[in-house]
Amino acid sequence: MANRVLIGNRATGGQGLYVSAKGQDVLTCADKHLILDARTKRAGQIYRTGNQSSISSSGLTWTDSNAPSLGFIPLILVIEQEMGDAEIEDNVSPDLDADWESSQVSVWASTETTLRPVSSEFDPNGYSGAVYSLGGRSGTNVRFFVLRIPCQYGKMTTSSLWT
Amino acid sequence: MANRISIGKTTNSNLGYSSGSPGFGIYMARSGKNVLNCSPDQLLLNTDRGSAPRIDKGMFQVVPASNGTTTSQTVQVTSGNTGSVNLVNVGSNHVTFVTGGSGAISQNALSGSTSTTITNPSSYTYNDITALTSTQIFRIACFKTLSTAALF
Repeated sequence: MANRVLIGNRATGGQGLYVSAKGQDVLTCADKHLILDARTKRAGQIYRTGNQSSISSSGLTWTDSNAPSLGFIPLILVIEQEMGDAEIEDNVSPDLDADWESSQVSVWASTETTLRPVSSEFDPNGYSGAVYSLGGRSGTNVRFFVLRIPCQYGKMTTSSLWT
Repeated sequence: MANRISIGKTTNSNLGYSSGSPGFGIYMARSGKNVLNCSPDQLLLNTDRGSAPRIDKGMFQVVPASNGTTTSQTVQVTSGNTGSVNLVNVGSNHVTFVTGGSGAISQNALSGSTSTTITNPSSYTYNDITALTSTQIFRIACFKTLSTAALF
């Protein structure tokens, strides 16, 4: 059986805690086979999870006294009942002979404290070029993971958050 | 060099612990930070679960597909039907993440202990327009659900 867990000095990486994938020797394996690597700055620590039958267009405040704002917008992974691409053929008169497609239907907006479902809306704008705008919508059977990883413009290089 | 790893008892007051009320677990601080007195946000690994200031609820984990090595699989689903992907049994009610469909909206669900299913609806309505779906190939990954103590 391969060595899976190392606490101490790794030849590549130095002092730390390392865990390798099944079948990989943590002492010698390639970096890509490390499940846990002490050199990384942030890992997939879950700050909060949520399970909501619906979230209205006004959004959900996911912070509270037990999970206050982190001080930055975190990475939030959202799964809802309906996801995927929407491809809709023009069915209005006069026929524009056009297909409208949204490559990601499940669009969400987030802040340091809230999560809000938004829709991608097509605006052919006289067919001079499709313009894409965001409107409100509701989300159904929503599950989400708030990861303690900054995902905010202006915070990605802030040394206090990464070093 | 800073103390990076604590396994066992901790009295880090920034995590809400003290000598009279210690915590137990595995903690690893980011490079250059002392695990004995770092802030919660400076922990790279935290096995606590609880209210502030013990801020993390668990680790983000992916449930492997049944061959035990891949973390996602593709499945072809015809219109109006369901497909499934087999999983390694590490519990049930995992969150199924679906992507890859083209021209259709998939409907996903919580997983069973050994498989998860995805529905390709025969039609869907988007922006008040109803469209029919076709056969789709979806990519599925499953994320491990935490105890309901972490849900709200």
